Amino acid sequence: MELFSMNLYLSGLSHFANPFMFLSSFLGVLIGIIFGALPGLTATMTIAVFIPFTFGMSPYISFAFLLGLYSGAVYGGSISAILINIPGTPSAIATSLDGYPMSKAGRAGEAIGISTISSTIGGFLSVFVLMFAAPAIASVALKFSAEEYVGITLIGLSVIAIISPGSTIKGLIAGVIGLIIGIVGLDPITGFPRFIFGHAELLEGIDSIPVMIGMYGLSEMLVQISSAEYKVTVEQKLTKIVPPWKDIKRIFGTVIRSSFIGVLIGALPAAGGSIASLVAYGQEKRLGKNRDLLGTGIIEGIAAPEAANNASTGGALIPMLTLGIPGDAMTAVLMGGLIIQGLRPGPLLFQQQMPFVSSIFISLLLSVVFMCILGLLGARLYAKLISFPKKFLIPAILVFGLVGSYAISNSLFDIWVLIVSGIIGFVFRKIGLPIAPIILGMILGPLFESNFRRALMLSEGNWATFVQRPISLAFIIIVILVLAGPTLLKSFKKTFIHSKGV
Amino acid sequence: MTKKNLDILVGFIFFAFAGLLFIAAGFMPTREGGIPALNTGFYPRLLAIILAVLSVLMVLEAVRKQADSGQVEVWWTTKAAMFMFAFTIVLLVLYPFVMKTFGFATASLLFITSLTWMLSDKNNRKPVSIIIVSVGLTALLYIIFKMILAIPFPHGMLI
Repeated sequence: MELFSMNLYLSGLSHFANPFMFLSSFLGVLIGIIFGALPGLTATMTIAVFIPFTFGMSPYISFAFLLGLYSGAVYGGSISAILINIPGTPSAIATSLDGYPMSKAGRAGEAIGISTISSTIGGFLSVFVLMFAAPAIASVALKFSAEEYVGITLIGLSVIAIISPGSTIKGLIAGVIGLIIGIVGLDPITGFPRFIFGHAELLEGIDSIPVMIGMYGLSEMLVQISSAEYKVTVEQKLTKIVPPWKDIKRIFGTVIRSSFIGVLIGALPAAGGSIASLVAYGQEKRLGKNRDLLGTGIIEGIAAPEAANNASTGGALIPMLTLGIPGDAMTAVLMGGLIIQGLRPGPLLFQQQMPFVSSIFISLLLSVVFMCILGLLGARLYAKLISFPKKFLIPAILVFGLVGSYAISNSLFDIWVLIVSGIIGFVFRKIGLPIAPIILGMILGPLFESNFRRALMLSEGNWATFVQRPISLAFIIIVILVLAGPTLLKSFKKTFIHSKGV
Repeated sequence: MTKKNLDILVGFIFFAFAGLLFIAAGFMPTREGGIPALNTGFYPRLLAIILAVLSVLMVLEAVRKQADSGQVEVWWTTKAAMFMFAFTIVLLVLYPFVMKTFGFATASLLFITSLTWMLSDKNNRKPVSIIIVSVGLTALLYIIFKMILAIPFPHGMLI
């Protein structure tokens, strides 16, 4: 196709003669990192609240800024995940699994350095994949129908159930609870309101952002208060942020592998950075050289999810730009920013607005460069922002959560959603139920439901439709392998070792 | 309570919840004949069944566990911590009301000041620094949300 012409890569360059392109990208990344690092302010929300700022700008400058925010916030989420065990954004959930233990061992600076380098490499790779493979990947995803979307969602939920702390069954229960939360609101097919209890605010479903801030931010603060942890101020001295060469060499394989996972998963519709980072972490748990140490605070545990979530940024833009299907919540908001500018994403965008598409590639590349520089130079500043005394930090985070929840749709109702989710999250933490599957189930729920029911409708109620399509069948097999794999492997090993002994 | 008993209890609670959901879904409009997936109650019912199966598995998993699975982690380490927890919940619940009546800046300032005050060590309370930080944080919130993002907060009596 003519879409592969050099024009696609070069025609946007001339716009970068304008210094404002650099300034706006720089500011985007800086604000993105700070907002991403502040717990309770997700990357999605950051992009959403800054979109109004871009009304008056040209689409080129506007997208240099928004893509900067995007990369910065996805990376910034890792900083708070590492320092205070609260993922600043959902895609940093897996980062806290090893990041926080490292931080507790006094190696926070090292952890942030590893995160920066992994994010940078992941980001670079993803831009190149976006540039060269976009048409190819898009044509594969184009063949997906409802059955395949159901398969993708199930893979996401089973992976998160496996990697969450505690038993897989508890993880699955949490995932189902998330799906159940997703039921609230209008039935996507019949339009009947379900479980809204007379609240018009619930017609469109429970807003996922207050629930996320509640379950992660608020409940974490409640746990700290209930255990009187606030009396101990954890002072983190960030040393050795730029990682030594031997560490980079050690994580290189992990980073490359995770980056490809990130780009691929990011490119699947509805499977964004959070799933990418969890799958990459799960993969590391299965294949990594130091897999037994994962979770205790090793650099591979940070490199895998961070490379993957930043790699997913470029990947997630593939379906959004080429098909008009956003890869995740963040690209959905970005798509809103495109539409505001009068640009419709889809194959036509590549043909009619080639210089703009080209400038998107270059802007994303630029934002990765700024992210690396600002990440390594500014780590101490961001750490300061979230490491001042807990007696100040707890009220500040709570109030940011309260105001932020309100600000998403200017609704007091969302504040109640926040408080209730916070208390539920607290109880779930205490009874040992993982939080991440709930959030994932809730986010994927509505899409899962409509695809699931649409598939059954088209097949006239025949459930075999999920195994009759080869790609869908492959996805279902993956789900079974993910869930049964560890048990099968264990019993296989047992038999093997036993027979060897005899 | 041991962890094992807690898991069994939680399993039963989820089972009961699944039952409730199943019953509630039965009240949703249903058409006889046709494809079940088209009905509103179909998907909630399916999830209720899955949750019920999983909660039974959770109970079985817990029963199979060794009896010495250890004690449940305490919910509140001290009486004081329990009081602080309750105090925080009260503040959170009051916040939207204060915000509606007096405005978001006032609500935020009161929230931050009172919680910081309570969280500070009694013997080492520094009123000046508490006030400076509270006012500073409120100003930051005001600048970001009100001035930069222009969020339309409820018009209270104050700001």
